[in-house]
Amino acid sequence: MKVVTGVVGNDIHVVANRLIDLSLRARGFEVFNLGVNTYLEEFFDACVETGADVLLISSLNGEAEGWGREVKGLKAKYKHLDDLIMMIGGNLVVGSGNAEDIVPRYKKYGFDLVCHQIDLNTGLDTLEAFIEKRNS
Amino acid sequence: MSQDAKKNIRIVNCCNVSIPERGYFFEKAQCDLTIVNTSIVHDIGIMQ
Amino acid sequence: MSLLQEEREIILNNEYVDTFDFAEVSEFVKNASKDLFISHHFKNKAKDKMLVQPRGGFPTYKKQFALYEFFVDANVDVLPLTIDSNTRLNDYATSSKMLRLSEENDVDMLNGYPLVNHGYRTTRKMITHFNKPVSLRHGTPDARLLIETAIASGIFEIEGGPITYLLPYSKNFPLDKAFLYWKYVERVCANYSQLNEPINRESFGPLTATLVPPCITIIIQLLEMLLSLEEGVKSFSVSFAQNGSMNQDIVTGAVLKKMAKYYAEQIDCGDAAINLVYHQWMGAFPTNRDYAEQLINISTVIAAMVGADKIITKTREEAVGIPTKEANAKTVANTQYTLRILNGLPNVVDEEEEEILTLEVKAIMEAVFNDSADTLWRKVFNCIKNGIIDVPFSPHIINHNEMITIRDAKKNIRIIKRGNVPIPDRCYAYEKAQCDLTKDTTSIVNDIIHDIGIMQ
Repeated sequence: MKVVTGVVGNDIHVVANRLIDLSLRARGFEVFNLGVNTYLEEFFDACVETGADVLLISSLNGEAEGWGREVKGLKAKYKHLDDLIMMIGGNLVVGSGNAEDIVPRYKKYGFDLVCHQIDLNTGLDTLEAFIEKRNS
Repeated sequence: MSQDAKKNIRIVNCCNVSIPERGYFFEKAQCDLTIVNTSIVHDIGIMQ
Repeated sequence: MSLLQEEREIILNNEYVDTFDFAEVSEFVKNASKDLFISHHFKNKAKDKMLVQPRGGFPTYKKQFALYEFFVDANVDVLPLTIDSNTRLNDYATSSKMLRLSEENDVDMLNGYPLVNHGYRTTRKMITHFNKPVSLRHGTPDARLLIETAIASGIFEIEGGPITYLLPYSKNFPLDKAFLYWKYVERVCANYSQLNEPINRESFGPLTATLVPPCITIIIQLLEMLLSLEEGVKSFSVSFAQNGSMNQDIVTGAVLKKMAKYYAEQIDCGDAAINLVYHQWMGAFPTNRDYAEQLINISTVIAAMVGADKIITKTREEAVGIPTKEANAKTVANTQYTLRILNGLPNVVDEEEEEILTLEVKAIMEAVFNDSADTLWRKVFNCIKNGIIDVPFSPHIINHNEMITIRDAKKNIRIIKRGNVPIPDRCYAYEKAQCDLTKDTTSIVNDIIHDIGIMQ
């Protein structure tokens, strides 16, 4: 399974990014890590280029909120991305918010899996369960 | 009694306390004995 | 006219500089008070007295002046001048606009002092008024204009370097360009050093402040030192930050001091003064202000054990945001007090750890010198590119990120995966033997998360 990952936007939180990379590899994924400060277009370009199965975007400063509604439109411009599993995790709002509001909002933006302030391993367990269910 | 440069407490006058000669010399050798009288006041207030 | 002078005239002929008077600036440096030179204080301070330097920069002249007044009242030894992030990215137009907004509205719109916009004529008034050494703290890959303005203002200590100001802060600023821009800085500092006391250069040892092993910290300090000394700089400070284990800090300090002297002599620069600077804990701070103060206090004790020449302080508000001038000044006073009552420190030497670390440092340095490139900066560039030098948690695309480090039971940082870094086999076996490696990667990741937040 191929995963493209990275931290979106004007965000230099590198520590979580490295740990996601490490954990994904430990679980047997092939990882293409775009690092911090990555633009949405770069994520989709990389998914096409690598033939990725999963796109895992992380955001820690909460700015994901700002571009969330652009995701669907942008993704539609690319061919062959219909089966891509879209996942986002981290700290998804500026300030405080509760998961009941945030999760449905990001699902509407086009994400299959939304992990707001969930610890890394729980998040990756969710991803693996989702993949298993889809393949069965 | 007074303090040396590293703030260890040293005996500069043993009066009637039976400090062995060698130990007494060692203690005094660590101190600048020319300033003892003025420095004792300072040494008591060392943490202030 | 020399090539350097030609380049200087291009750099200083800038719409944000109000006519740079080369002759007047040289005359000013030549006749400047010795008290402004930290190199002079390093030379003449009482042997065991560590210089205390806080952090801090505000956008307006007025607020910066007020901050300095607080620091002087708290018995500061070295004043900081921290530069705002727009200036660090050479975006003088934005810093100019934000400075005006800050002046007009009494709200700080910048996270530091926009030195280029204030200019040297204005800033010099403040620096000479306080007549204390000032240290320039920035994080700029292309600091040519900034450094010219700083020295012209009377700031005679310049922090940074091509590696330490790039790998922790930037994703894709070209590293080769950073080396060339810093070469300019070294030369300008070296030239001014001939006029009066030397300008002191200081490297930024903390790097990412996240599980960086001592051998990587040390070789980067040594390489930036050599790059600086080979251009003629005569006073240099190597630095590192508290890393979580008192013993490892003491070992790091001892090896760093010995190796700095050794390698300076190797390039016939043994006459340069080398100083040791210690940063109080640079990782994640506790939000509880009282705990933060305890942490700061412990840092000061370790700095004394390490035998640092200067300590750079944190504040009790570290976890909360940009600290107020009151909190900043309080830290200075507290640190001075701790230093004053710390007496009769024991002399701790761990020969086994020192030997292992020395072997690691020498092996990596040898690999750098053996690179086939013709100049030192190109050798270093190649070694970062091919992972011989690998900085944990650097966001930069050139960094390899193959090395993995964790803490052992005593909180020493240990290398459990060396990647391309030429750690000798014996040392590698020793490092790994200190750790529990039977765990799976998931629990190691959990350990790393815990190890990063160790002080919280």
